[in-house]
Amino acid sequence: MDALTSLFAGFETALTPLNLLWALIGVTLGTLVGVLPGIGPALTVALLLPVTAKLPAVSAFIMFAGIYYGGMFGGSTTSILLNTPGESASIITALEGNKMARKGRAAAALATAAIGSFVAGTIGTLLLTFAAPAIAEIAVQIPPTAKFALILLAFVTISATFGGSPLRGLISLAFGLGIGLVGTDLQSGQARFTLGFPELLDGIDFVTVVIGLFAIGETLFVATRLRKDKGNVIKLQGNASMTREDWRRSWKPWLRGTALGFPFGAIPAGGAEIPTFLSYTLEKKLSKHPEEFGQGAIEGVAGPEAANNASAAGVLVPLLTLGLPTSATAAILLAAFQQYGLQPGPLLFLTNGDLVWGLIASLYIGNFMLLLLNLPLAPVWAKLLNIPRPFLYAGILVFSTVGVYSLNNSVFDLVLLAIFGVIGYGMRRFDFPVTPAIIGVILGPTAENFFRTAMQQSGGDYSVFVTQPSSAFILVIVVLALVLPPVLRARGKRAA
Amino acid sequence: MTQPAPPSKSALSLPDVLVALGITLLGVLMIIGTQRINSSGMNTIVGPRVFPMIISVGLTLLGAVLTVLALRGDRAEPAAEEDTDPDAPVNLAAAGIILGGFLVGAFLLLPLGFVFGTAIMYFSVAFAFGERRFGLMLLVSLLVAFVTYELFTRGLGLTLPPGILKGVI
Amino acid sequence: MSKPLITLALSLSLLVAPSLAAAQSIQNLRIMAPASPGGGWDQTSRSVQSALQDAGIVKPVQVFNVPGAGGTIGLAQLYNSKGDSSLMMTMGLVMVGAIQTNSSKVDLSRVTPLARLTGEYEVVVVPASSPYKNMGDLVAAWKADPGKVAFAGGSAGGTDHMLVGLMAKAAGIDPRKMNYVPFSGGGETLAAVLGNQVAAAVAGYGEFEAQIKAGKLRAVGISSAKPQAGIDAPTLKSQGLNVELANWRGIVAPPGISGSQKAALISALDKMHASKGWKDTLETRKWTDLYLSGSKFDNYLKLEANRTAGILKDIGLVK
Repeated sequence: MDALTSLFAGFETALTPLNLLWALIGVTLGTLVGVLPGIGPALTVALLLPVTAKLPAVSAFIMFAGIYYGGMFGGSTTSILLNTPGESASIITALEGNKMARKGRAAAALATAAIGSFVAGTIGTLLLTFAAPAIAEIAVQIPPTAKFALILLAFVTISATFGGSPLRGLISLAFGLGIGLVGTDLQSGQARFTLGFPELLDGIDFVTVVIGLFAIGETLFVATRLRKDKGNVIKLQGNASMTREDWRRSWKPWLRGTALGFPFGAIPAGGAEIPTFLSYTLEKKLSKHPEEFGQGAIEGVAGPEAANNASAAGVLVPLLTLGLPTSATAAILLAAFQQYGLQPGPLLFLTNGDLVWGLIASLYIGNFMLLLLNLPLAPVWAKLLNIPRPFLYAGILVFSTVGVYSLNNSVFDLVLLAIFGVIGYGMRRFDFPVTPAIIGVILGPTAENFFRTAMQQSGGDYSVFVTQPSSAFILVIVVLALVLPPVLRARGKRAA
Repeated sequence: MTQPAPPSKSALSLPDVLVALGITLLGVLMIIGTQRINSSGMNTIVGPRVFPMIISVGLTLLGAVLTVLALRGDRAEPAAEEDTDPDAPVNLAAAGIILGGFLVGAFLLLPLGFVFGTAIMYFSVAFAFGERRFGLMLLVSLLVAFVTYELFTRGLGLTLPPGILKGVI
Repeated sequence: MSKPLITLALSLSLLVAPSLAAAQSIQNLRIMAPASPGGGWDQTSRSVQSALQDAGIVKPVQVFNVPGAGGTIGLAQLYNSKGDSSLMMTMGLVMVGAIQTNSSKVDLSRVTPLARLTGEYEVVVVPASSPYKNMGDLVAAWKADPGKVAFAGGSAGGTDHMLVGLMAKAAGIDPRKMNYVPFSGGGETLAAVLGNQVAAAVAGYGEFEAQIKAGKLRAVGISSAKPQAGIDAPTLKSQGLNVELANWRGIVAPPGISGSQKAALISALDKMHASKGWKDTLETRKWTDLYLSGSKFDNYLKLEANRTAGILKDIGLVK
């Protein structure tokens, strides 16, 4: 029970009034920037680094932990209310969450996201407390072949999920994959599809694509076909947040989402996207109301949000135990450690135990604070939708502009945003689903890198995909996911 | 959803055919673009052209299938959104105003500054959505832009262009 | 007759002196970090900012970010600020490489070099369980079959890649035949070598420090000329590979500034380098002091540009 003693000592550090105040500032700030599209926890911590240089290390990290979790909580708010996901991890939340909000159930969607985030964050932190070193050991052993197979699994299950018209879904996916190729090829250093623009050498940031296709595309589309008869605002169904039925439908997705999200966070380059996508498909498969998916199913918010937050906790496992950043925010946190002359890794627990355990303790506290902060705020946030349409859509556009502009401080990105807005309009007009394109942009480059890394490491031996047990196992699941549904359908027809 | 009219299959829809042809053309252009990627002299087992080739050929084929279907009379139904009225006449001018306002605002962002640039964007969206209380729109758009500017530059230390208000704010 | 002349000269000099001094002291200095907040150039810029301000050398100093394309977007913007003597930009070896790989229209011969500030040496590591006990073992296996020994490191054309290329050349291996596996982030390189997925990995010492000290990785070589205090790794040179490489960071100014304006900026940096605040920053951040200013840095920059262009051609990355 070594961990337990250290954890109590950590709580002693974290529970001093001053550190509690820093935690509160952190979670508040994190929630606020999470709400803004495009400005995520990574940028916030990076911008705050110089400001915090004069704070004691423990206080600074307690605040950063608050920003980190707070950003995850806040990210879901804009997705649900405004259909403007600012982080790749909250894209899936927008799908069902925004539909719920438009039906007047915004408060319930926000509540299930907040509670799911709390549950996942707390379970994730527990795992971090008691099993971190062991998990980290396993996580680095996962070969690129297995990671490639995992993305393949995500592609296959997703194209089945958004298969209203498989042809249009595939075109959307191919388009996204193509956008993902733009920029300098990591493996060979050659420019691809940059059309001679140096601004495109780093590729197109997914934030630009997501906000363009989702927020700007929708604004253009709605403007051309505005519903005039009905009142100008969405009616909220009272203040009622979650009903008993909502709770019953949410708790299992929370747990399943956590189980999916945490390990992906711990895997290098695992990320929060794949588990949110997988969680969504899984919940749709398991749901008793699959017909509600796409119309505002609460499971589709609860599962992915839990997966998102659990992966945020998972990311801290390799960061603290191995000094291995597995996400953009983790890389910035690593820079923060270095600012204090600290090197995360196996020795950090020995050399700076009080700091690490204070940080871990503050994760529990921060999570709890976030729940207290977000549950009462859910109905307040939901009132945002009472803003008359012209002012609401104008506000969405302005916030999108800030988010995209601040990526590179460049007007070029705003022109790109406008182009993707027009494409987003066209996709709505001609019935192409937007989500596969986004998934292509995010996962395409990762898939290519894993594949080519695997080939480079094996010296060009393609058989590694089936000889490595973990990747072979996942590839079998991929094949089953492809073959089983048609077979089952055929048998079902015969039985009927 | 009370949508009685089933998609008509008889008449050819020109926009659908054009979109399908456009996708096919994009695929072909990507194939040409792939040829233009420098092959690397490095020992790369899977080179930089392999994935672009797979994706561009895939997009071309998918586009071709869509074109065939469109020529046989398939047409896409616009998405149904909560705020939209599928039977309303399509008002393309509104989209044009938003887009135009956005681009004008974007290009004036550096010379005029963030506050006026985004205020132009805000104003044009509100106008396109049918708001006509000009005084209120002007006030709100400037206020939103100003508060956003202050929040981001002072609160987060982001650098947003001050433009003509340099030294004033 | 002479009296009024002297008074005139005196009063003139009194008038001129303060304005000359004003031209010398720098006002409202701006430092461009050609990368996103949080990265190496951003950290360097902000450290320079606080060192200059805290020692009262220049006030106020503002840092702004122009990220993109290995810093070449920022470089182009610096080039367009011709004659602006209150602007500086941080840069480094990575930018020298990016100019080549991105075929940037502006290169470093078009701007005004000021000083090299800090740097970090690169280490070559193998997993603790690796059969290669030292650089000699690794090079022997590498020579036997260059494609079999996979090296992990950062993106293609970056410092890590250049070092492996230079090592190959020094060992008599065709750099085009070597098997280099690029990863996008330092964390992924570390994971690949910890997971035994590659034979060896290359990165700045800081990225591997914790694992080397914990005994999970073995440092078989460091790219410095002499062994470094506190780092338990023999130099590449002492093991028969005549290679020296520092991932250095420096600072440059726009083109078209006058000689005295350049001198004023360099003198401000000289003062900063001598300040206690800067020394403390180097200490906590574990940056190696590689300060070099004036014409020495001008020459160094030319040599590095040539060497980089050469090795990127040898690797096969640039035609």
